[in-house]
Amino acid sequence: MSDATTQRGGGLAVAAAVAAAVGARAGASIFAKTAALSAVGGGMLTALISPWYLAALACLFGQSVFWVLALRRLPLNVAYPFLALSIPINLTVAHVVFNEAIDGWHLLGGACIVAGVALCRPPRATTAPEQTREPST
Amino acid sequence: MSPEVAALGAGIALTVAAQLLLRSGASRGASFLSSFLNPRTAVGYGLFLLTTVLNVFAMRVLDLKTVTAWAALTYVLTPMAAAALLGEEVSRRTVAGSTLVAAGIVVFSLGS
Repeated sequence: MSDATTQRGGGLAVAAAVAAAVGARAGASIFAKTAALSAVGGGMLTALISPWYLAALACLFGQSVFWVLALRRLPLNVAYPFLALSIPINLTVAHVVFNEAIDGWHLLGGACIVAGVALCRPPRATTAPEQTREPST
Repeated sequence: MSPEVAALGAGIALTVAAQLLLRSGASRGASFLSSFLNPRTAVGYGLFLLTTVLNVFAMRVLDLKTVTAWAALTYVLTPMAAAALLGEEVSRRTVAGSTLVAAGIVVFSLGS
């Protein structure tokens, strides 16, 4: 297998890991909102023992696996903006599932976010793990 | 400031801290498992768990779209923190993209 093919395969794997992390992140917010709605009139405990909250935690676990896979290959400043794609996803679900009102500002903002994420796409050569220095905090 | 808004703000700060820990942990392991089980990774995900509790608390009052929009501030703060604390090089494209994302957040927040 050529180096180019190997690199392309590695890039696809990283892209798949990022996409899966984004989907799981959006799912976690949606299930958390559902858990919150199920607890209206009850206490926080009602929300935290809800199956919807457990579903949100399951999504977060899925995100954790895929996100670590992505961060092994991509610098944080390159990878992190991609998670913003969960905003237009959540916007759509908020409108369709939860009947939350959306307007032109939401749509324009969502479009800007998608365009911003597109600008942040990683360079083709960024496929190798990078070393980072110790956090100073 | 209501407790729900304070919870939202705390969740934003903890999310940035968690991402820094995750990148730090992920870049250390020789294998995926060692990265995933790195103490920094574990602490990062512990902070995420706390963030979910804070978000559920906040969303008892706030709309999902409102929480999502404000939480998007992390998309600007995290690259800045990665450059300052992890020593990552931030390209012009990333600066431009993050700025556009931030503009999108502002525009998004103008909605009713």
